[in-house]
Amino acid sequence: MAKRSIVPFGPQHPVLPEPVHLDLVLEDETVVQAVPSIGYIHRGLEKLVDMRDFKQYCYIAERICGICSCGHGLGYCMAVEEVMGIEVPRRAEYLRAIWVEMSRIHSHLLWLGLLADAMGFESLFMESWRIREKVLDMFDETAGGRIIHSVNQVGGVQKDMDGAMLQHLLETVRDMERDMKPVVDTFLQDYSVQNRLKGAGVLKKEEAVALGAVGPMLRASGVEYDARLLGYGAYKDLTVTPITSGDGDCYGRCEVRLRELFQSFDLIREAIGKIPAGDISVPVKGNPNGEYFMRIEQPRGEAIYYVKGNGTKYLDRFRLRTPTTSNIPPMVETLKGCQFADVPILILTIDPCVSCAER
Amino acid sequence: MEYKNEIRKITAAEFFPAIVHMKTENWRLVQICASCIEGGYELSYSFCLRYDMVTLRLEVEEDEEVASITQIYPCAFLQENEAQELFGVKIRTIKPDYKEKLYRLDVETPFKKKE
Amino acid sequence: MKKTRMFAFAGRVLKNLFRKPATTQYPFQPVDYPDRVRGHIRIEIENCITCGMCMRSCPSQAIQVDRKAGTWTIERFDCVQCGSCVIVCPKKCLFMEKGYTEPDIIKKSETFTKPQEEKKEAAAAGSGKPALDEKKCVYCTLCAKKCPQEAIHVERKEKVWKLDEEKCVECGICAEACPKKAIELKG
Repeated sequence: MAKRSIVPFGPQHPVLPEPVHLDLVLEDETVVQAVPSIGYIHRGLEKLVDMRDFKQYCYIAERICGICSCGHGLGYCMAVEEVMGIEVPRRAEYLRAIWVEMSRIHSHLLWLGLLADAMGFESLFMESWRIREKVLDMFDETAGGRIIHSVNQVGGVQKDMDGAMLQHLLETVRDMERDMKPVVDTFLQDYSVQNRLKGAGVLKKEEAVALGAVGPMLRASGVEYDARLLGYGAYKDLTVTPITSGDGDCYGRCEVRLRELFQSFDLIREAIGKIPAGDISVPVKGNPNGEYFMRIEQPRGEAIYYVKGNGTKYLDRFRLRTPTTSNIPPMVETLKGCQFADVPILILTIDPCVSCAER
Repeated sequence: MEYKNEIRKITAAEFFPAIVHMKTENWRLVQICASCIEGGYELSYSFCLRYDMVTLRLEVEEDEEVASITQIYPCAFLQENEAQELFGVKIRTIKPDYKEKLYRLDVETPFKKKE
Repeated sequence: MKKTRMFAFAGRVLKNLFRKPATTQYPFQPVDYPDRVRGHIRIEIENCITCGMCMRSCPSQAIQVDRKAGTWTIERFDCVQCGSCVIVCPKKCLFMEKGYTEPDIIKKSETFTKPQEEKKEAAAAGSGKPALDEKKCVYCTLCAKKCPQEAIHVERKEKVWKLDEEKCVECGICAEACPKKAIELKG
């Protein structure tokens, strides 16, 4: 038996964008065990429902994470609306769907850039982020903030998008699709990229289900599950097909996210084509009383929002189970047996967001 | 398209068989949530099969011990540790048990309701 | 199986060498913000009635309103630019403007004081709690619906009009909304 050594990895590491710590047990260069530990950025945001009323908390839910900000606001609002029995106007649902799809584009492009960076492919990283800048500018124009959009509120959305704005969005989507072409070719066909991604960190279909993987991680292992198919909000009328890949390795996860980007482009186009006219919000009177588990599909996977109201303006309990919390156990599993040099890429392919996971 | 999203109340005696039953039917564990109720805690274990979701609701007293489900669902360890650390729910034999050091907090059980 | 290529990105890299930069040369080149950008909060203090709704709605507790002194204070560095105060303001005297808070080495707050003469004039013009002229009222519940504080309770059938004096912030929206002009603000 080779000599075992334990290498502490993170929370500060040049290739790691997130503060997650791993104790890696190595045999020569092969990882035999990994013990994850988080907890560097716990902020206790769930507890804040005791001190902020349920309408204010929407702004806090949005600030749980920078990348899936729009999704967190949406998930929280939908859970509260479900408890209170509020029917949101159709136009608001479409606007929410457009914003959430935009944030999916933004999140996936950020991830692609980080993946390229973890491989040391700097120019590909820069190119991904250059394209991402377009969608951030679009957020700036439509919502007033590049990262935190503050568009969702209980009962609808705060801002409307007029015809000129939607037209500009369509043009931006078209430009981005054109620019993405060489990037996609590079990610999927380049010799050196394939060398780094193919066969690394294979997660089998059964393992993925047993370990509770969600989102692109689950779909890359060949499980057809996309929470958007639950038909919440505008997704009732939009065509969503779960994008899967059979390989379950890092390459598969990269491919799933690349194809989801194009799916989001199509969904935005479809939503703009179908968007009805009308109000964008309904007034909210009274306080939530009851509980509900809301599931929505975030860029990183399925997130669960639990809201329990007690009839006062302060909620009893708000719980958010983020995709990263679910994806850490499968990540630990895939780390077993991999090469030490592949560890950063394996951690990255789950698209970790520790600030979400710890809240 | 309406999918199942229900909450089932179970007792402590039914708890373990129910979890094993979920496992044999291939349900995916999606979340564990603890919350404070009068005189104890309410633990919700949610499972998904395809697009249906079932939440098992277990009510425990403040000092009552709960068995960990990590033997059946190994991926539960993060959320069980979280419930233990933030609420002080007594969960036995979590594997791996972080011994209330998951979030490295100075305060003990900060989410527990103080009287 | 996808085909494998060498130097798949080389063309793009070469093109980038001769292209002008994708970034703007900030701060030498000024930035043109879109209209909706949430930069900072501006107040038109003359129209403010110091009701304190912005203070209560602020999720980061950056706003302090002192009713007696007639001041409105904002901690610029606590403000998270969510725009919550702008939405709840019953007088619509708060605005979200372009331009971000300048960085500084200390936390600073800004205080605006309500002009004194304005206050007297306003008092003369009618401010204070709403009072109902029961003869004119048709119990349409419009005032209760419009009230930002949910301070008015109207029962159509029993012909009850009740005001929760503690909740009322004297914004006067009920008086404006009343189709029969049955509500008057009295000191």
